Amino acid sequence: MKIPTIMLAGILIVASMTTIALLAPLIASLVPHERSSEPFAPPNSRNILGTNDLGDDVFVEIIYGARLSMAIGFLAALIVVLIGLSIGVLAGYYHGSLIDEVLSMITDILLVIPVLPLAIVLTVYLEPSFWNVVLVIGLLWWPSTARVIRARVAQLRSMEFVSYLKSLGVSDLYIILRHIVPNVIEILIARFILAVPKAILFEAGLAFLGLSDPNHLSWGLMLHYALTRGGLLRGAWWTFIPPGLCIAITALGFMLIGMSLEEKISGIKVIKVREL
Amino acid sequence: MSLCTNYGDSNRRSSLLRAVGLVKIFHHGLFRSRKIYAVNNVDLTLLHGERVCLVGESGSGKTTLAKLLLLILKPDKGKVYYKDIELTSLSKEKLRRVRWKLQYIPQHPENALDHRWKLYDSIVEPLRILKLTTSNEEKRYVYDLIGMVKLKPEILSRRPREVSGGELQRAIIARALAVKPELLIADEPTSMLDPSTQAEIIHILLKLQCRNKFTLLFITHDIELARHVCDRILIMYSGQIVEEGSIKDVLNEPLHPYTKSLISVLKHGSLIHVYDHVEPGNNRGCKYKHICPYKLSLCLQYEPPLIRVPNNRKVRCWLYAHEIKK
Amino acid sequence: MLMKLKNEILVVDNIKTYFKLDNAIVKAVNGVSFTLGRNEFIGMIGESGSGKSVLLYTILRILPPNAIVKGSIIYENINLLSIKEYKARKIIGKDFAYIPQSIGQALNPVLEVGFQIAEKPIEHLNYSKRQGFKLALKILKSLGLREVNKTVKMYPHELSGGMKQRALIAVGISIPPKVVLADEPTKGLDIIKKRLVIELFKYIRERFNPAGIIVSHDLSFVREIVDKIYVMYCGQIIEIAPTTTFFSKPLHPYSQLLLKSLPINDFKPIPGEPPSMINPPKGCKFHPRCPYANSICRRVEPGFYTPEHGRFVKCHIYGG
Repeated sequence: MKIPTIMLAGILIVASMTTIALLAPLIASLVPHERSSEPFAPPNSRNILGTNDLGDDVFVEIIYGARLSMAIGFLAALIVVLIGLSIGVLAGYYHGSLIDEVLSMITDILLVIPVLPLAIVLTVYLEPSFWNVVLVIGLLWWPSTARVIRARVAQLRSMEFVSYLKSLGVSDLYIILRHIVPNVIEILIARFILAVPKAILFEAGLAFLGLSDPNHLSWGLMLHYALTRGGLLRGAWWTFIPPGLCIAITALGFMLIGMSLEEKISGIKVIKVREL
Repeated sequence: MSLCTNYGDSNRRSSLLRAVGLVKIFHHGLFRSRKIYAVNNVDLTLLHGERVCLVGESGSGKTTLAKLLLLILKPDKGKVYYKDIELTSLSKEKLRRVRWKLQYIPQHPENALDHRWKLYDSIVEPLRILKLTTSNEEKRYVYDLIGMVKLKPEILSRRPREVSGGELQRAIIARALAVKPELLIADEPTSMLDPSTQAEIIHILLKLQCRNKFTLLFITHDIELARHVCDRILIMYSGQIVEEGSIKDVLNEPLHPYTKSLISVLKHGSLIHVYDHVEPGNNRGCKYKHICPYKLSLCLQYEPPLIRVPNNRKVRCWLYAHEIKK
Repeated sequence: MLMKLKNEILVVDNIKTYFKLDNAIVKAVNGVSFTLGRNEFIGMIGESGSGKSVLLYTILRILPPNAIVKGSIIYENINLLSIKEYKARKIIGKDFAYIPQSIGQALNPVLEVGFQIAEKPIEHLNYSKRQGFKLALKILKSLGLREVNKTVKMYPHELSGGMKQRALIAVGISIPPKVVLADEPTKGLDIIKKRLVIELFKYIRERFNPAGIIVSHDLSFVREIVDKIYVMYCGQIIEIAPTTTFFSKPLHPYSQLLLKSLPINDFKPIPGEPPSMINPPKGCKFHPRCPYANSICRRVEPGFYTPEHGRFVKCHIYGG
């Protein structure tokens, strides 16, 4: 399978960010950083990206921030995809029945509600913590995945091979696990990859508003502090441009992969060799 | 062309599948108000080891009838008997135990197999589900099956999209025969393939029928093809069987006006009347009355029954009313 | 080949259409040349995989991106393959009527039938929407549909099979076509519907007198509407003959076996396997399956011989 250049660029970006996230302590130890007594110091030989309002090295914060943002992104996307898969498969397989009606109604309602305001309300109500943020994102974003999966599953269900299997007397669970799910994996992977940047951006938004866990310094939270602790006012660009850039580039990387994947899946069908 | 003619007297053979009074209605239109009688009171008997053709144009109800016989669809009225068991009244569990002996080859091969599965896995699947072979014998068994349908072993590692239509159809036949069925219903299995592939696949099918002695119900719209395939033929029109008999008799001496027009298209390329499709409703009188050149006033009011005629033949037409015995 | 432009409408010269796959090249059309008369209908017959459909797609320039095309197709002094695609589209869209396979899927499900029929005149002849719809009504009536006022506003899924067929043909003939290209128009149809398609094509020929290339493996259908039969095998034309003489006396061994394999004849399958399009046989492409093959067939590709006037065969048996 030839990998198109766009996808390659995306993979490069994502791979780099993931590596940084995974190897954060290692990278941090390789680079000079010391807690300087000087807050808001511009980039210099002791702190590559300068220091923030507390005198902490910004570069180190960025690296550890990668961990957090990526973790939230992946976990939330995982929840989105798992819920979307379950609901989509059930609704699609029992297409036309009561289960489908109920699930579709729930899905449609959630699709109509504006997610960001709802998320804000929820996080204000709940304690801001790492897991709460992940759950809020995961529980609100699954509907569009469920929709897509439902459509595909309903289509698969009407295919001849399913009625053949039913005539052999196999259980619905067998058909779902061995035939339906493998046929939606491609879509699922594409949706997962596209859900990660959404989650990262979402978390950044919540953090910026001060609704995330203050103990976990994500890129979004860095932006929040840059705003509230005076970095922005002082023109200390190194406190807000690096985290902002990281968010944007990481999201871009995932989007590039995800979109070129979706193109491949829905693209021109391969011509059968013999049928030419 | 008949490969095995050792049938013996068909009167001595027992019935394998018997359908009585099958009716299937589909609802279309706004608020499901329009009723379409896809299958309209069909009786049918298939004997052990027989080769029967069901001939009719598209929309005549042939596929619906096939699905009713296999219990893929539930009839609105009527019963289906397999040997002496009434299938239509069986519980799901009991039905499961016999159903796999009745296999089906669909008209469109594209979606008959899972696109992501290799052909080997698709063919072996029913064997594993029904536990018909051990894991040691499995491979050998599949290779034998493949050989019977004249496919090369290399094809087993390919997926449905990577093989030609003819090869795919043969793989589907292999899968159907893997469980050693007693009845095989082939629903226009070659209408999407070109003539030389068609000839090959049908030859394979007939050879296998000869060897394994399963009952073959071959559905087609091509009456010329039926000549080569079967011994007994059923003509279907608008959801009903309108004529039944041996292939030779029906081709040489068609009785029902519809059969006559089909044969004339074949022989002379002329059609008595080209018309737009009329939905099979349940209005009064004979279903063929709007085109029939021989219609009587009786035909407009009353639907003719299936009348027995000498030589083991049946016709659904008032022209043969004199044959009805009191 | 001498180009007598007065009577020829299409000159196809040494077309080769290859498809690039990951690790192979499929030679779908491997050197096809012929001329099409202005009012001539030819039937392209052959097995699936022989290249006949690909040849149509090549003429219509609707090949996928991994296709490589060599050769030329001259229509009214323009090489359709060498001009820019949008220019070719304009010409093809206006003068060529394409009737594709799988009639069920060829119509756009979200557009009214009448609109689809009116599309070509609106696009190419600057008809207004109203004029287009009036034309659609006229055409549908002439094709034998009743209740045309209702039909014209319907969507494809509301039509029966026979009506869809006629709607599709109506789309094709909404501008009088100069060349009709049809791809398996009777695939999967029963006898009654096939009759209808035959009548429709006869109507088109009478009314517009176009040229036509009908690709089909349905010999009984093709026999009724074309003047000449072109037999394709493994990407090449191997026999050309007038329809009647083809069916009464096929010359190429493949043609003979093909006719024998029909249910109306012996119903004998052709021995052997269809040839590989990636690695076609050396010499004569048919030699592995030919009952008359000898050593020269295995080594040397036969030329096109003319054993009788108007008949061409690519077979050593008829060589000088």
